[in-house]
Amino acid sequence: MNVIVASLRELEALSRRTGSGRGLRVGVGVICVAFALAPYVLGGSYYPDIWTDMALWGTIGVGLNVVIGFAGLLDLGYMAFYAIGGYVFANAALYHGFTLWETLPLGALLAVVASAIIGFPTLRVRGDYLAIMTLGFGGIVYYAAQNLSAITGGYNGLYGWHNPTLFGHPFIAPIDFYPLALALLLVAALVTMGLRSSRLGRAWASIKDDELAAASSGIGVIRYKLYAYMLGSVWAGLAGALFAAKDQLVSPESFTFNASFFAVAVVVLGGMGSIAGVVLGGVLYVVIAEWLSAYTGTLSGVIFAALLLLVVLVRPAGLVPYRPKPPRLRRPATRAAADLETGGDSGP
Amino acid sequence: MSPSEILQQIVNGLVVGSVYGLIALGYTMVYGIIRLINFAQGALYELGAYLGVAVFGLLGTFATRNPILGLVVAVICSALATAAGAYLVERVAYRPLRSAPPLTPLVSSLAVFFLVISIIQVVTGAQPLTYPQVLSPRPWNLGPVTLTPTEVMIAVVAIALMVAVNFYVQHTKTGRAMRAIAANTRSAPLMGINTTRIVTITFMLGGAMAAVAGVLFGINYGTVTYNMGEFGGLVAFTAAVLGGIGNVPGALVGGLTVGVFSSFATVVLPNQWQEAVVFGILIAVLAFRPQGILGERVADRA
Repeated sequence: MNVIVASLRELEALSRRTGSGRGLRVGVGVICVAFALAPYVLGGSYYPDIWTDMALWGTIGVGLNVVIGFAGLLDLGYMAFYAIGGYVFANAALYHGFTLWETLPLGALLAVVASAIIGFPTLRVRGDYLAIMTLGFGGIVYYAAQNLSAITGGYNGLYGWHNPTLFGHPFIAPIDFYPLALALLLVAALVTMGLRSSRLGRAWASIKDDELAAASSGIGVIRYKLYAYMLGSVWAGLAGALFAAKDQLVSPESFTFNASFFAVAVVVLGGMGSIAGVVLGGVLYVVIAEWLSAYTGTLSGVIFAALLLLVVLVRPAGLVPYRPKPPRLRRPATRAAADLETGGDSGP
Repeated sequence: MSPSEILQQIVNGLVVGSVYGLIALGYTMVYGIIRLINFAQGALYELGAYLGVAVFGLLGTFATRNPILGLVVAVICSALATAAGAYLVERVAYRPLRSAPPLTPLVSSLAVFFLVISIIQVVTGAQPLTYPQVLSPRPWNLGPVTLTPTEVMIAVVAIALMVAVNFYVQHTKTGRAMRAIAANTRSAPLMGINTTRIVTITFMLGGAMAAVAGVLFGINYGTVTYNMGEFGGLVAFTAAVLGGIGNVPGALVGGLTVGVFSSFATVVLPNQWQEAVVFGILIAVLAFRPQGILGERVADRA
């Protein structure tokens, strides 16, 4: 609840602000609307998957952004949670007759439970060791997906369930899932935006900046890291279930180490901490991996890796760097303080 | 399993493990001096293996007539070229980030890793390449175990190189400079050590060792694939962590241990789980003994 209130408050604050920021926000709004309408205007039959995939990879970016961008934890096994969402949906749909709507919360819940189980031993180690440990877990989930045939269908994966319907409208073609994926992306973006400015978000930011100082200020570092891990993996669980429903197939090949690396790349490329940035990162990834690779083949991998390296070297904060607002004083004591707060060009 | 089978698996594991130990050297030395997990190491190993095939190709009939001389040339050329590659990687992707937050070079090394592997994939068209048969494939029966001459050669070369690198680190001036930087990065330059130069040498040495490991792998298995660096790099990293990252003899100990474990896994476990064993070891070590078997650095640095 707090999260929703906080995100609404942030939106309100955004719309109230004046000056040069408005043009930017109008621009972001226009881009969002254009993105939402694009497949219908441009014709979704050309690359029917690409639009839905953009929204799903945007969601992956937004979710992983909580872990990397907010809390500063490098997770190289994020797609494990995507896999859990996908397999939970596939099992529920195939063997238990559940619909997508009933499965989505279950997939999210199991992804969170898994992240807690994985996070508990993992988050005690710090920095680069954490990255390696998450890589290890991602690897184990991949091999489990290949080997536990009873629940994963092994190498061939799971398929052949009934398509979901909503008010009698069936979801069959990938484009049918686009509004759904877009809605998920929007919810993920708004909720994580709220999280970022909440008490939790500030705790993460302080852990990211200086773990020792955060611990000294009374922040339970491991507990808060675990929250970041759990609140980040929810979105992978949800996106994974949608992805499985859209593809009507879930197989281990979607959850390789490469996929987890690409998820990290999406966040770093877009801009760690910046929600618009990571969505852009997700869109860019899909454009390069799916659209460009149709023309260039495997060369698209080289292009993507080179782009990531270039961004890391030239623009380490990402394409859309996250610039936190300076903290606002609750009640400006003097006119000077009020001017300082608003940048001096406009009164409150 | 009969005792001779167990012995055979241990010997097989030691052979494979010595190659992993050689790759692990690069991880452990770079981590030791600048605390960076150099993911690119796995890609350099793969690059070395492919350069080895290329050299064999260039040598043509000379290599078929003098296979051992051809192998020596291939190993040396591949090691030199990969060291040059490692220099380039360090210069372009790591040196500008020396003062960046610690996660940035880590991401940069991941990007390099994928860049190198993607380039190899594009250049070779993702087709596996074949290594020539250098030594006789006929195995030797040494009491209860059998070994091919190739396997003996691999273990001897790999272990000799590791001993040599250890000697270099412990007993030469450059090696002492490396240890000084590892002990205290900020005071080492005050003692007149050219940190940039030493870091570059470390990277190049690690790259050269990875290349030798790549060629040895190719000779042993006969084929190299464009994604061999992914799993090979991970196993070697596990070896480095297991031995105690930052600890040069630890790379050998870790490599041999991981080799023996995965060798037993091939017998005990069904096919697809074998590779998962390495991940299991990695997680177990990091969770319960992050300083590794020999122990050096505690995993307390972000």
